[in-house]
Amino acid sequence: MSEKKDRAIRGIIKRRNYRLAGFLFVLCSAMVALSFAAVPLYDLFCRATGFGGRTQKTITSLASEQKTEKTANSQEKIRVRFDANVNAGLDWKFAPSLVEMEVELGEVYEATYLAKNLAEKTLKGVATYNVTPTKTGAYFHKIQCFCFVEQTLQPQQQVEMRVLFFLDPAIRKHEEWGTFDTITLSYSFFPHSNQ
Amino acid sequence: MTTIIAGSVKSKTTVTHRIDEHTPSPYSIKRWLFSTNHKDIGTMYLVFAIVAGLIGASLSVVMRLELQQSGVQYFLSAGEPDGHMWAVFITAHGLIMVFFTVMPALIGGFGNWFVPLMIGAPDMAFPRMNNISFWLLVPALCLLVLSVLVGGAGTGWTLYPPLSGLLGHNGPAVDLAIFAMHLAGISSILGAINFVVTIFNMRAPGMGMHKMPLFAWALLITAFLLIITMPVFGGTITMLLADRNFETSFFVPEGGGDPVLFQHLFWFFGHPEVYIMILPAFGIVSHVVATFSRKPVFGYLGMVYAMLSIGFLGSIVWAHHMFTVGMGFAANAYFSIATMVIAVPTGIKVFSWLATMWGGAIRFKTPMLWALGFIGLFVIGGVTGVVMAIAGVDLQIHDTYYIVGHFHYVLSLGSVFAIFAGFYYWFTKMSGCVIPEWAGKLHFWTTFLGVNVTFFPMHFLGLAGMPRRYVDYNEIFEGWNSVASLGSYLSMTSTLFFASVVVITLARGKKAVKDNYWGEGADTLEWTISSPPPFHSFSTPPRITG
Repeated sequence: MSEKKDRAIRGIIKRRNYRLAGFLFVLCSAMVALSFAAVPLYDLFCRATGFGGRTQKTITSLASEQKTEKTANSQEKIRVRFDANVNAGLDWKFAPSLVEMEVELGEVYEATYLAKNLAEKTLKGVATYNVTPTKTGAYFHKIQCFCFVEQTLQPQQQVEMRVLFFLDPAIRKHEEWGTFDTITLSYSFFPHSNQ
Repeated sequence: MTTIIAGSVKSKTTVTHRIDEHTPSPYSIKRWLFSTNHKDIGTMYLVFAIVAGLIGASLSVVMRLELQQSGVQYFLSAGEPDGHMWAVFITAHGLIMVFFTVMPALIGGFGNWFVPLMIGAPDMAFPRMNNISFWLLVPALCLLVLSVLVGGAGTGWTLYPPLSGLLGHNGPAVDLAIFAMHLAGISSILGAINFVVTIFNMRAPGMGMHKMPLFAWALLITAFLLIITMPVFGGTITMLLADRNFETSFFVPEGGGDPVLFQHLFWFFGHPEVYIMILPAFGIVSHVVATFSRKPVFGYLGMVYAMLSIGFLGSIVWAHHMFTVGMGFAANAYFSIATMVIAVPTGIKVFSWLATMWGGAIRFKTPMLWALGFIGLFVIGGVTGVVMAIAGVDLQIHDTYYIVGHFHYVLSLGSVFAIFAGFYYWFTKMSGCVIPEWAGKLHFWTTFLGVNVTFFPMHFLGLAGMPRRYVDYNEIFEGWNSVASLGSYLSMTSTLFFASVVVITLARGKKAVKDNYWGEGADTLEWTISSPPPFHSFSTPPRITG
């Protein structure tokens, strides 16, 4: 083999190597991008499926539709329990007014929580929430909730916080319907990050 | 002495069996710092892995010393039990063993040394990138050590928030640990790209993919797993870094984030990572078993496709590490079943090794002992793996010592036994020095006894309910803990014995050894060149026929 031919072969291998390595770098960057894309995708997934006990946010008009559907169906009741937690970093008292209530599927209910700022300064809080069993998240609709926006309490101020919700009667079609008789709605208040 | 540019095919006139006279002096710093030679870089990786392994093992012995009795004896600060210090130790042990011992040994060490030799390539495709891969590991380890010095990250190797967030660690330790992982990650990604390009483009003429040695196949699949999953890990810990320092809330619930997402992303990397650590081990064991049974490996194609399917399945089962987060019945069922499916290709491999030995002229040389030890212990670890793949059972044993026992059987006993098998198999090929058989066998038997005494009782402890990651435990667990501690002292003694044997053997210098000192069973290309091989090998590609 001549020196010239040898060099030509080396050139070809080199080009092929760079092309393949370039492709692998692109693949690698795509995976980095995908890891960041997972954040909004995961959020979307939880919202759509109620995964992890993520409850549904519903506008009122839709709720009334659900209500009419409910009258056509049989009356079934389920117990809803209310749970409240406050992060140690937030000097608030926070508790449900009523520990539990019986609800009919499709009917809109109002539950209230009492929150009090124990500190001598204005504090902003934000509540995270979910329901257990987590699979009921997809059927647990909130029309109005204090958890949708951040809450500000003046020093020593006490307020009543409302949540309007209903349970979608379609929950009866869920395969695990009947395996539970209680749904727990839980809130945890955290200090808002830019206090 | 002329400077030789590795990878160049300049020396057309030289024959394969060239030379020691062109090998640069081992005492020149430049040779190692600027090395572009796959053998030198492989050697550096192996030395690095041994040093890091000794550090990681020492950490574990200190932990076993503490756990020998209930109560807290050593992990005290100002007379008070220090759970954080304990957590820093387990984190450092885990990260060092995974990223600085097993991966550098299997991928950087044996991979660099033997992939080019086995496929008849003159060097890796990108020798300079290979150099960067290695030298990124050193600052990575330094950053991890620095992290320990500034308070330490007590998060476990999984780095779960909120513990790894500002809530759990508000000092710089976790940030430094994240930077260490960034560097180690970039190092492995560059290495992986190098392996894929080398294996795809630089095989000797005539070596089709279906003729390629199993170790090269194992490294190819490992490299792909690294390229696909390691960037996700990089992205995830970058998000964690942003949560800690730039007030983002990727994983902060009060800001709308979700810590469970971190677990998903982490294990999307973390689970393939355990296959990254075991696939090269499969490759080594296949060669060793075939060599010492004096038979070609049984079911070569089955072995290749079993590894491919293990790689694929291993990437879609990550959430079996998270059965307790409340994913719901359907997700748990899927991840349980998919996990158990991996037992099928793994079984194919185990039975193929047994079939390779069946009717073979078996010689129980040191490498074969380690390989047999690997098969037995890996099967034990695999079986407990199937047990914990059942979501319902996992709810009981999650975060107990049963899990610790399981993953040490597959990694510390599986991967590490394969590393030793490879080491004894190729040591003479790499160095030209000969480790006495008695020393290797003594090392094997003491380690075998030591690690089993250490890790087997952990299954009992876990089933009895002993949780992991705590510095202390209830007195009722003391019996088996003392036994496990005794085992770890024996293993450590054995490991120190190994290190001294290697140093003494190297100091005694080279012996005249044959190219193929294991005889006819060893039929891959590295056995056609001298031991140690010339500084540049296969400058003229060998032709593969038949």
